[in-house]
Amino acid sequence: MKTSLLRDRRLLPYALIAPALVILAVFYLYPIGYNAVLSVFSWDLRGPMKFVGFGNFAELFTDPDFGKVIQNTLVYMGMEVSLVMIFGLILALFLNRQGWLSEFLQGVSFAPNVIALVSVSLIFVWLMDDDIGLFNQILSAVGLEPVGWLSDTEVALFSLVLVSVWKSVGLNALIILSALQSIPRYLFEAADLDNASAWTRFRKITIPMISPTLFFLVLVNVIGSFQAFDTINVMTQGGPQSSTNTLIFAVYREGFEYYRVGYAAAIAVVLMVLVGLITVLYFRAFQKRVHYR
Amino acid sequence: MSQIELRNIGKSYGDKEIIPSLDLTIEAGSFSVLVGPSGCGKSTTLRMIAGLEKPTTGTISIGGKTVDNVTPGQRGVAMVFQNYAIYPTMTVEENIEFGLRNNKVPKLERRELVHEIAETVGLTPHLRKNPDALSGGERQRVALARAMVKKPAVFLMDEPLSNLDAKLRQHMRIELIELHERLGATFVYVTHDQVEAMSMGTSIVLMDAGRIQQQSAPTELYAKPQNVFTSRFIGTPPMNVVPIAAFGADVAADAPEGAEWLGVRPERLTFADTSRPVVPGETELTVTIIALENLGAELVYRAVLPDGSRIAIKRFDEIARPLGDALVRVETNDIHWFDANEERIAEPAISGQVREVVSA
Repeated sequence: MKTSLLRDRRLLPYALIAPALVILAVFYLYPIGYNAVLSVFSWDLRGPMKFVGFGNFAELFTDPDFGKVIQNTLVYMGMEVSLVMIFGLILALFLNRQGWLSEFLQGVSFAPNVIALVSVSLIFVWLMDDDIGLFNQILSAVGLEPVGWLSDTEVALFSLVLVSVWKSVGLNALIILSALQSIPRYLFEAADLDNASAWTRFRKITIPMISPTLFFLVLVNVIGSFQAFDTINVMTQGGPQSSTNTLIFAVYREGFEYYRVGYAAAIAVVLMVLVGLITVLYFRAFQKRVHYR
Repeated sequence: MSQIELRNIGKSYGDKEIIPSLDLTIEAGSFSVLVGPSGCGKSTTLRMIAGLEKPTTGTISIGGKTVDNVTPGQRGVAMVFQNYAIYPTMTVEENIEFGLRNNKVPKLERRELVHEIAETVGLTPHLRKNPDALSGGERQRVALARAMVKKPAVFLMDEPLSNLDAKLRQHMRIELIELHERLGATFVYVTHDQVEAMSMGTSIVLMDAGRIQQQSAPTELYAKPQNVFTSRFIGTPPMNVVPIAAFGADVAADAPEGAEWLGVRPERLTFADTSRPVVPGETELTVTIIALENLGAELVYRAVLPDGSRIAIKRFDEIARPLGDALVRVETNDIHWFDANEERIAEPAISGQVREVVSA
């Protein structure tokens, strides 16, 4: 039986990918499906499950705070991704120069990446403390007003972005750097002979040549930004006044703090649809403009 | 048209000296070929003319203007790279247009120029394509078109044909010669291939170890090699260079003052027609043929002289001889003489005649 399955030319490929498919099904497809099922029930993890149809979604979309949660999520994504990409690119361009300083910084810029995000968050809670935090001490030392880094509703979300950017910009820069270094030198020489200015070289050669990497990194960062959890949980708990409450944190809080599992599952469905939608739109908009070698 | 002058040019990378000191004048409108073995500094020289490398010492001028502090794009030169260096993210049209755009040529004029050039090199149907959709030969044309469209006074070419197959290469050689005739611009062409050098160049600059060994027209380079290196670089198989004693005492006695080495082109050696006696100004040698290469139009024999030196003999349209001993004749006028430093000894212009008179 076993041998005949492996000998059968039509079945062999399926037999070979079966292990991967099983893992995919058990750990991805089943949870997604189960989550979708949960989203139409009301359940507190212990008692009986009660079917409520789209009741959870109805409640969700009539909750005035939920709009704020989606807005927080999107604002966080927009700020985080653009800052990581811009500073990542600038840092990579700098690291791409020859010299001891850029070689030194190459090592340094990777360092935040090896520290656990929870530890990073704890350190920043301390740095961003209203009274004893280093940030505000520096601000007052130079005669500026202290900032409520984590206590001001206008600032807290940005503070979280700052931590996340600080942590991931180095890794992004290194990936962009490797793309920069794979651009053949003769292209720049040809551009020099074509009398191209530094800006033209950057716009017409550097950017198009690293476009697959940029495309990939933006996507990874977008998805990563939706998953931002450690910083929020450690630093703000979604506060102050829900100003840093995002979809993923709402899922956690509803499901595992308030035990409203069905409601949390409904939020997770919204999150999944949103991520899927953004990914599809992103591919539609940019994939044709990416140059693959 | 622009004459290119290199004065006292030196180039080192760190401790490594590539070119000690080079003086070179490339005539306006010439097709000058820089040729030599790998690492001889020919590409470095070309790249210094282009402005892609900065000379460690010395000064370069193009068309009478010193260009030492001029960027590559402002030197009025265009370059064709060995791997074409086509911008992979631009279409063929954008590739050709790029230089014009940077030079702020107005859009209408730009379009006209691009289409004109595309027509000339046969790229019109490919203008909207991406470079990866093109064959090697077509890419080569894009590279050429990109250079031509700028109408530069100087074309620099760094082994532009070495990535093409043999047939296409031969075809492109002829096209480049025609292009040079038509444009009348100065061409500086780098190659390691002596056939390309001989067939295309109006002037050949033969380099070795960062020094110019000889600069002259192809025929002159072939007929009067300035030293042993030159004599052996041009010609297939290379010139036979042996100690003067190898050709026997008579030849050695005829050698000019200071001669240590003699050289004879393989095609200047003939098998003796024993029905005809040896005439004055001619020498007969006994050799042992040890191998034969049949190249179709020509036969190349490998032979050993009595003193053990190896030589090659090239004959055309003959029936292959058997291996073994053979008699070979050579005219004294076909012998090149080199001194102990392997430098050519100037022909004693009249001594040949004197010798004939004496021996007659």
